[in-house]
Amino acid sequence: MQHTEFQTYSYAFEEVAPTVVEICDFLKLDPSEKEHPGIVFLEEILPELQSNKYIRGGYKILPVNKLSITDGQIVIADTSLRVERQVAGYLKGSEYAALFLCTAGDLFSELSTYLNDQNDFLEAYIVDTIGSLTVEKAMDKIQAALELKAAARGLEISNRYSPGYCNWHLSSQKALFSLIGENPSGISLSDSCLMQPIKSVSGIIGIGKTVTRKEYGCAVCQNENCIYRKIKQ
Amino acid sequence: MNQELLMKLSECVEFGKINLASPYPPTMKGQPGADEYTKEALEAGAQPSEILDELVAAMGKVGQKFTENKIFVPQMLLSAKAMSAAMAHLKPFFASGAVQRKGTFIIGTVFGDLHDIGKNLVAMMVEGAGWEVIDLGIDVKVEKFVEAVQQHPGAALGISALLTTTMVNIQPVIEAVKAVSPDTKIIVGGAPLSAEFAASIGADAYGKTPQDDIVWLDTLIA
Repeated sequence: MQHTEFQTYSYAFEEVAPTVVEICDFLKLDPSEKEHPGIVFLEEILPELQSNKYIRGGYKILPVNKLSITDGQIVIADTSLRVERQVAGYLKGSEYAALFLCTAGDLFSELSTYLNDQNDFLEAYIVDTIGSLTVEKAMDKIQAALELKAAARGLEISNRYSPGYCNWHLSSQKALFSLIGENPSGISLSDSCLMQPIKSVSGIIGIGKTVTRKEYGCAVCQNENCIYRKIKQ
Repeated sequence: MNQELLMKLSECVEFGKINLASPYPPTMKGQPGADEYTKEALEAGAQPSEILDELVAAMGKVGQKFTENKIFVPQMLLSAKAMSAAMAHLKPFFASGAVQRKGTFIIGTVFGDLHDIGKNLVAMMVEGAGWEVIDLGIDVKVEKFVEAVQQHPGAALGISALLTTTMVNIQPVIEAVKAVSPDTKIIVGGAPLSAEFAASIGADAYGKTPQDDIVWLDTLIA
């Protein structure tokens, strides 16, 4: 199961684009309201975004040497990663860890900033939302590919978990990126451990015979604006 | 005449009718919008301060509807754009001092956090409520908050965070700001925060919605 090389997946926007209905659900817009500026803009901008070919991600699969739920730590390829107790618990039974990255590139953030500067606040918000949904949909595809590979070896995979969520502190990004090493995603980390391009995700997926999928902690989390909560809905 | 124009202007902002060309809302299609009514009101002799009061009241209604979940972010952003179209005509009067802002509000998303929608909404609504807003952006370091407070004496400060893992970064900002400017009033907000958390880290107030920020800011100048 181990892949010490980064497995890369690339997508064109049309392969991972959110649908109008999905975007409207997120924005709480009625897609049948054809004259609403948000719907008009969506119909205009979605075809224009087709030119975005730079949606890229993947993972590296490394052996899990040790997992301590009490300490909230996982040791992967002899490197300790502090994921905190909640995520460590979700990774219980992991024999391998898929460390992933995915980015939708700079286009969405650049366009959103441009539109905001033009006082086109709604349009900027829509583009930002499309970018967030796109990178998650691309990651869904990558996770599905990983699940198939794992299943072929009789292994299960966990949900994906990211620094910044479920109490996993962002400062762990440095160790995570160090474990992932060389990769073609082009994602870099700021000194605040934020990813550039902004529309990027990173994290971990546990793999093992007894790994189970969990419900996200949405029921107990207060973050009602969380993208993962919106996607789960 | 002026009163009628001001009422129409208020409706345009409340319902997001930006200008004559904008076809939304359908019931106001083909009619002038906030842009044209503001220009017309000024030409008809309305005082810029009267117009601003009308805009502030309209945005107050928008904020209240948002608080009550009667409208959502897209509608609020359309109102903000209508407000912005109207404010463009008032800019010269702010510059000349003919119209006074209520005060200055500095806002930013704390370092380590890149979420800006909530922060942007607060900034737009507070500006619409008659305040000058200095938006420091996202992933704002402690030093940048301190510098902004020092550059704008008397300004109130708003700090936002959207993650449980980044809300802990607010306290160092509050401590650093209060160390150099103990009288600076600070409000914090963001999905994972609560009034209890705000009090525990030394914030002066907690804003669950943009309207909470506006109401709190107005108490500072009452």
